[in-house]
Amino acid sequence: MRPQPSEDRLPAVFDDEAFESDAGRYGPGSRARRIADRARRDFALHGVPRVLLMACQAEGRDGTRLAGAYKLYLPIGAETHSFGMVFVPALESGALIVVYLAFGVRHQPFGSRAPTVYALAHRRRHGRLP
Amino acid sequence: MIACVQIITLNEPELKGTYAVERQADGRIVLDPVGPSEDELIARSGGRRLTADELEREFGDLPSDDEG
Repeated sequence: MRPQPSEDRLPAVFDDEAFESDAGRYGPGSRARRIADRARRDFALHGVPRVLLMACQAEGRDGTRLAGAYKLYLPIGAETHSFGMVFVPALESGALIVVYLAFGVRHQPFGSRAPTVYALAHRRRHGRLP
Repeated sequence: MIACVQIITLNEPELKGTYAVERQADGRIVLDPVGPSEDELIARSGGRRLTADELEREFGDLPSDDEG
């Protein structure tokens, strides 16, 4: 059962296929996978804290176009936040919810060609990488 | 730079899903699982997109940064 919307938290909807496409990039038991799974559990159970959400850029310097999408950095409470999760808002039966769009690294590690969370979100929206 | 050549759907039982066909910088072609599109995700949620006015009303006060 979804949590009720509140001033502080928004109910979050996760699609298994989308989440696994992103989190499945990381090995079972890896730090990234644990962070993704923990965030999903927390957000699905309690909702996404509004205070953590930031607006994605309509035209990012990395070429991503994510107007109307919102992000937060993970892991919550850590000193460094290497990962991000992107959501898109929706109205379901009049209630505001956020729909999971992507999870991944915020920045490509040096030498890596792995797409960032923004590139993954962009591809879900536009059908191709930026 | 990774170039996405095409989005394809495979129906083989062990590979069922949507993939981006990507050409790597070294010329290799890889299949990268994409999962459902944003439109599909919203449809699966049972919800609808917010209008521009609704977005502004609900989220217009949220901060942003220059990252993405």
